[in-house]
Amino acid sequence: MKGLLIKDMRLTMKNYRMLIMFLCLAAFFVFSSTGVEFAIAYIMMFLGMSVMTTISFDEVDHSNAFLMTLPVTRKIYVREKYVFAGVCLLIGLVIGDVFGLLAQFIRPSGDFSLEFMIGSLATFIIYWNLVAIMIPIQLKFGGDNGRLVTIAIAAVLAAAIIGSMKLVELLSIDTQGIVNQLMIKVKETNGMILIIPIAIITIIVTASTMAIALKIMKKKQF
Amino acid sequence: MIEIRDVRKSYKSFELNCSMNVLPGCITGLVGANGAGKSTTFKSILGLLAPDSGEIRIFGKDISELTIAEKEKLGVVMTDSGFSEYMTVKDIVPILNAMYHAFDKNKFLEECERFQIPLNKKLKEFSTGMRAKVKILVAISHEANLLILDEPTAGLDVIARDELLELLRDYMNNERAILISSHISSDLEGFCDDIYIIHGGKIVLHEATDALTDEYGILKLDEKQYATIERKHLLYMKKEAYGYCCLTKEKQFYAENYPDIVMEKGSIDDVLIMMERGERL
Amino acid sequence: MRIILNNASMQPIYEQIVEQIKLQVVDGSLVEETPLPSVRNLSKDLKISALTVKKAYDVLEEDGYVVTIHGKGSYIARISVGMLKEERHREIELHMESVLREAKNAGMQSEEIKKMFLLLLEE
Repeated sequence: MKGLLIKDMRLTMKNYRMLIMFLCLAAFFVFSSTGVEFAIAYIMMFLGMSVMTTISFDEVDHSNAFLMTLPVTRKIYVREKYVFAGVCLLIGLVIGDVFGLLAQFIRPSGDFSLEFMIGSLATFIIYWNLVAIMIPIQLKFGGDNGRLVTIAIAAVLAAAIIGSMKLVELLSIDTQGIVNQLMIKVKETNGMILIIPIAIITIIVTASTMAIALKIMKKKQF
Repeated sequence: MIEIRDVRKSYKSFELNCSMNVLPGCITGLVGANGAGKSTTFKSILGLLAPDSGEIRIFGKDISELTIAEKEKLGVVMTDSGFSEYMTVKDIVPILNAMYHAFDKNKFLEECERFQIPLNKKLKEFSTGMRAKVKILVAISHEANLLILDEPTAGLDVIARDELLELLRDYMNNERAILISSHISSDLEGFCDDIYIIHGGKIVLHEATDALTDEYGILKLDEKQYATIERKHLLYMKKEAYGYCCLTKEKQFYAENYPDIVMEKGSIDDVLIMMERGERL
Repeated sequence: MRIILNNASMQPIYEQIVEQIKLQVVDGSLVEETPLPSVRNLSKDLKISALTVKKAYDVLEEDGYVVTIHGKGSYIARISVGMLKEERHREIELHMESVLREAKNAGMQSEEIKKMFLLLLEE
């Protein structure tokens, strides 16, 4: 796996111009009034996408066929993509927190606190799940098609959410009440109560998407 | 070291059905026209394509069962696939170092210098010749015992080909084996110990290289000679503008009994052309 | 040891090697106990298949010109003059056989052949 990680890191660094640009943009967001949260989301998204880019690179000049003849298995290939995604997002988390801290020094507005760090951790988790879901999609459908499929899935999800919201309205369930109660509980335990369900969901998403990605890889012919 | 038995794969216009063996200490060649099935065979051996039926074994195991350590003993060159074109040789070195325990970094860099391979240029900016050289150097940089090379000399001029074949010859020993495909038959004749000819997805010939040159011959006949000659040992016939060309495996027979007939030494190219464009007798 | 191969010749490569080594043994340029290069090294140097070299070495061993010691390699054997003579005689006999065959094919009768032979002998 180490060799594959080195490869993906070097490929990502090829775009160093873009990386520097994005860092500057992110810094701008942080130190301007737009706010740190947006900057963090932006950083995470960018870094999370780099795993997709490496998958595209592998595919575009058929280098994945050659990769499979190297001392790696398809299982390792899939795992490495997840590890790489995790590392990238972790870097994003650290950068985000560091920026937040710096912003605090420049303009002490009490933004940086435990709440902030929890917020950035939450963003990390959300993006991790998103990327985990996108990996098998990208592996199956390839670069351009993968993006289309992801948009399609997002659209379906959005429709499902809107649909269920309408349904809830129809059935006159007091969602507002439930949400309020939930919010109180969350504030009480400082968000801790959400940890277990979120952790469970994340573990399920990670394990299942990895298994699906592995299945896709095993079937792949070059 | 490689055993292929009755491997079949069907495509729309083509069906592969072949059996092959590569023994340790041997250099085995696979020759065939474009589309005859060379790449399909190679990809099946390497586990990149799943055959419909048949057995493929490398180092005695199915390729999907090879451990990482065993895969380190494999060196591969493919025509249309390699490291990403955006990498430079400098990028590739640490990757090879991490993947292969036996990677010899200094030797690899020395060989790159010897062949004047730029370390900081992206692969996509390499000439065809340079690309081929790098691929081969990579394949032999980590003490691989089995080299599987799909057209490694394609696109190289004759001097580069000679240099690279010599590199491969020096690399060989009695524990190693090479499976090489090419459509430059002359390269293979002086290099391989045995040759498989593949045509239309099937292995149509398997001979030791010296049998091809010693026992096979091309007879050139005019109408009269063709009409009266003993046809028992003729394999293929091709009608030419001014006569007939015939392929035989019994060169001695015809040399002794028909000493007047023009006979040429057999070569892989001749056999290929006769099989492709001649009639089987 | 000196070996020059003619790829265009009708004579099989292994035969060319056998012949040239034999000649050098006979004229003394290859002395007994001289080690022969390994099969692989010779095939690399001559740019031919290792199998061809092996075939040549096998024939040389069969004909008594080479001795292989397991684990050490192949060496030029001790050649007795008597054996060389025998070998040459055998070759001459083969030549004669092929000439006779040709003569018969050309339609010559035994008497004609004998006559021609005796005439040539007297020259």
